[in-house]
Amino acid sequence: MTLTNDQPSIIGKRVPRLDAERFVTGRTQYLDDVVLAGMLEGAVLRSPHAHARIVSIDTSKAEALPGVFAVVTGDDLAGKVQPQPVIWHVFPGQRYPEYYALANDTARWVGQPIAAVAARDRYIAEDALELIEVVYELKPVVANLDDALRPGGPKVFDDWDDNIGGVAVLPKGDTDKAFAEADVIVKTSFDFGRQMGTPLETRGVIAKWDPYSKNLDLWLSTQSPNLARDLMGDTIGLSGDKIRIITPDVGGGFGNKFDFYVEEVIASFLSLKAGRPVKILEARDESFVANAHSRNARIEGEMAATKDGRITGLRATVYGVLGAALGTVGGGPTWTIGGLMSGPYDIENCEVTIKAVHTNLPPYGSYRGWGQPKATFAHERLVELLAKELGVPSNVIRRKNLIRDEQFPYLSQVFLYDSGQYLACLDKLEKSVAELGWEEQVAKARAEGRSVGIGYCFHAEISSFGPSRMFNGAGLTHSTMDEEVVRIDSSGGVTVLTGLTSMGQGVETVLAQVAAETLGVPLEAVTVVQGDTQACPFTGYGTGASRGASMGGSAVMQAATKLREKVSRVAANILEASPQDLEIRDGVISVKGVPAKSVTMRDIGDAAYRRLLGVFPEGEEPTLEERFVHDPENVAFSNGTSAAVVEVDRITGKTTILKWLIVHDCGRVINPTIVEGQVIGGLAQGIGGALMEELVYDADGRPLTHDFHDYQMPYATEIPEMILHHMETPAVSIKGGFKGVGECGTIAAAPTIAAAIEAALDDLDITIAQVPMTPSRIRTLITEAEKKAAQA
Amino acid sequence: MKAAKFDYVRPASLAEATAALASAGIGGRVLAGGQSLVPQMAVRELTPSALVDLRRLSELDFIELRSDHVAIGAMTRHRTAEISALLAELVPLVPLALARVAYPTVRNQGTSGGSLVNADHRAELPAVAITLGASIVLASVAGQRVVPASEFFLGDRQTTLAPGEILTEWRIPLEMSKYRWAMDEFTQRHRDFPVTASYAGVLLGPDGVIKDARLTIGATAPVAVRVAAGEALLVGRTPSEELVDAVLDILPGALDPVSDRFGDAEYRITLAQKLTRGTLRAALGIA
Repeated sequence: MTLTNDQPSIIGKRVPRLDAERFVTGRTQYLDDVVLAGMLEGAVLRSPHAHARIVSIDTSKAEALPGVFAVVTGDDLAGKVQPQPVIWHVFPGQRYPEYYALANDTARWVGQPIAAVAARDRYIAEDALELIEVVYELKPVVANLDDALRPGGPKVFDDWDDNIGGVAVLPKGDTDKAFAEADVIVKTSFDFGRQMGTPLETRGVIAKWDPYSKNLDLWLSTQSPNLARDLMGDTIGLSGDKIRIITPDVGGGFGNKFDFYVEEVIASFLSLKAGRPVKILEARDESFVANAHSRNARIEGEMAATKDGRITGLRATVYGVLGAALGTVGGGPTWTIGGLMSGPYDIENCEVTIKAVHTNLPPYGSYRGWGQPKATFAHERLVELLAKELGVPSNVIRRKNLIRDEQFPYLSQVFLYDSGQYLACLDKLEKSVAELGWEEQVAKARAEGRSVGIGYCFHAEISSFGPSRMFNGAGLTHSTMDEEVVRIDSSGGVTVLTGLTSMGQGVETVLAQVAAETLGVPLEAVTVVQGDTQACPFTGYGTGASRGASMGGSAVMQAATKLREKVSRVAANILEASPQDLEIRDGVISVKGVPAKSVTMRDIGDAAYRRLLGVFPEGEEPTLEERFVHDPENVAFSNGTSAAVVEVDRITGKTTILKWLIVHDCGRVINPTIVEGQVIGGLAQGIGGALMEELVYDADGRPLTHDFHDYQMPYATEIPEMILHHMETPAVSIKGGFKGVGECGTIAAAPTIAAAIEAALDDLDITIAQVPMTPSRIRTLITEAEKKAAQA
Repeated sequence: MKAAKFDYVRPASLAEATAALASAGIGGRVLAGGQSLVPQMAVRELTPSALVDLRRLSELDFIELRSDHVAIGAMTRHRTAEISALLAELVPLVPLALARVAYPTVRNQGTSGGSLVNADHRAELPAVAITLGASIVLASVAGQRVVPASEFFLGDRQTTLAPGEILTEWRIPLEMSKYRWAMDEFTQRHRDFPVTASYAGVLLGPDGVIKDARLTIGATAPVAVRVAAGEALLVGRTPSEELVDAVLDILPGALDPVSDRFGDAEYRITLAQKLTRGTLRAALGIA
């Protein structure tokens, strides 16, 4: 029996973020604000060529420059480091190109690190880079997917017979039969440009290698401190207890900072060689070639259906346009495109072939969405095509094929979808669109000659990466569990210790809300400690994959529940009452109906740590701390459905988004304001990816995007007002019912916009199959369609 | 990246500035608002050996009406010119164009002289200077010379500015105040550099006949293009939709646009025609 928690609900409330004042007033301390005694600054020399043999490197002039303390090249690392680690092994028989922190004999992309310098300051370090003489011998370049697939074309690796590193097939049912028997088949090919997350704070690391203790301290702007520690240990052969990862405030992550980068290794060796701490901060211009790239893929997809719109089959080939090396997550995000291709639909027969294709471009890595933006674009585009083919509104197709409530848990090719109310979600969206009068407004605008249209999208989002054995089985060589610790100190204050990282999303506040409500204390009583692997518990998969709030929140809830039990036993002992006769509210435990007979959390802390005699229960272990490791049986699937009104200028091809509506379900909501921030922020990022952002390369593999003039993220001026509605279908395997929310915006944006553009131009025969949908590309589609119409 | 090492001087007068620039030699460079120079230095695209900072030279911060021209000092901030009542009245093309330069924080720092000397092929002010037939005044220890805008710009970020010279002011002929002006540009994102821009001005006689016209297309070539054939076609005629169409028909032959990730040549011609339909109609007073 236990005490009654009478705490007014904090979970589900719009409490202000605990870190808001600190961030808004600039009192945060990012990696670049960390200055250590004797610290040097490093800079990295990067290959100017996409594919070249390194004939020689002469560092003597750089070493002689006053202020330079250390120069390292691939030779310095040879034999001392393992190749850069890959944690996702999802392609049977995949070939793994060996890739070291500094290139040894061949440079395989523009930006690949060749050498590095540590100097008194960054200015001198960059001066020294200019003094390093490298002789290159140019080799044929694989600049894009078409180059990579061309028979007899250039190769990234001389000893491979082609550029394909691995092939995986994810089948379900009998797809061939479904297509043979189909009434209707629609098919098309989709191309996705290279993109990347662009956190305001670029990546950065400070390495301090203590020559006496042989300890390596790393200050790292990271989303996954424990992963970084373990991979660092694997790479340089140091045990985990010798490596400490300290994470200062993180100014945005977006998945980029989940991955483990070469600069972590380079800074460590510079520190070892110089005998001083070394900071390497990624410069903005450098980030366009040094940060993990993403999104680049081609999908050849087709959908089979009956004439009344029931989808009977989905078949696709996915080409992941990887770089010349595998980043930390290898072909993981590309594989996920295939694994989640059926999205929110009940499709009996589904087969996706995924090919990992190498090019002379930077490594592919994590970026918010992780394959799902492409998978969703493919299934939603095919649904639109099917609807056009059958002459019905696309939502008729959606309604006919969405997974129904009673079908949960639903098994797709790969994953078990836990819960959802997809049909109700779509109903709510359509009802809201009707109430807002969008159809009438669009009709009116069109009558005025404007090209305006409404587009729809339904998406599912995998979240709560948690079941370690499940992901190990899928090929992940790391865990996904989450450990959280909740402690009450001797004065009754509550501390949550977490391995999760606050990178602007507000996870600190969310964990505090869960701890406060579960323990029965006010929010102000809770402090969240994070950012140090020596002090904080183990997080398997870090703060990514839409798992922080759900996995962390659930673990905190369960640790706090255990701790509340202990508190109730101590209180019962002091009050000489039975635990079930007690209630707790705002940190005060009282006997039900006798408010005067009470103790505070401070009394409990005092009894557990300081003055135990006569108050602390016999046989109870002193102190107040509990931990919980959450390693659930399954992930949780969030979902959402969007509608947007866009206007297209037929001459310029420019798309303006006028309105946006999203109905979203991420299970039980812990903080609606934070959820809205995640959804709206993700949509803004998704809109940038849908319309503007692209890392462009020329035919020689040279980047043409070097700054934010070229790589165009949206301003506030490009983002429409957004209307959000929530639904709450609890997660099944995550205690507390929380699901993830971080990626839904980047997943939902492009398919919605593509459908809306086609609706705005519905007098023309246009199929949008390329992202981003830049003005010049849309103009080209319009011109071609107009020509076709004129000829007809 | 970080800038390469450079010397820095901050003179108190133009005479001191030209002397400092002369002694800095071939690697010397003038710092005005720093909105283009500093980012280029930060990535070592430009590595001047010395910077002569003009920001104390209030003598170059002016907008003056003189006998036959309006003079704008090199250190006049974009924002100052943008909100100048004198310019709005006499040469509204200048404030119209400046309102499209980046955003207010950049315009608060960016200067007339800096933009003209930087000569980015997409930038508004060089195109405005070309359109208005402005003169550009350059000073050095050897004295002063006045260069027509049509000769000043040689290419993308290339001008006739010689080592040791400082752009001190630019002059707009007062007759430009009789024209009706319009400009428009297409950007992929709000207030970016334009993919294409159009600047038009028309001088109408009391009889409604076009006495003179200016038409410039910006951001499609290394230097903004005056469409002479289009201007010639306008002169002597009266405004009409047909006349606008005739000028638009000239544009494909008059332009040889660059192709880049924001659009190919054909796309830029399409943009130029769309923008020019608007600017020309406005300049012609066609409602």
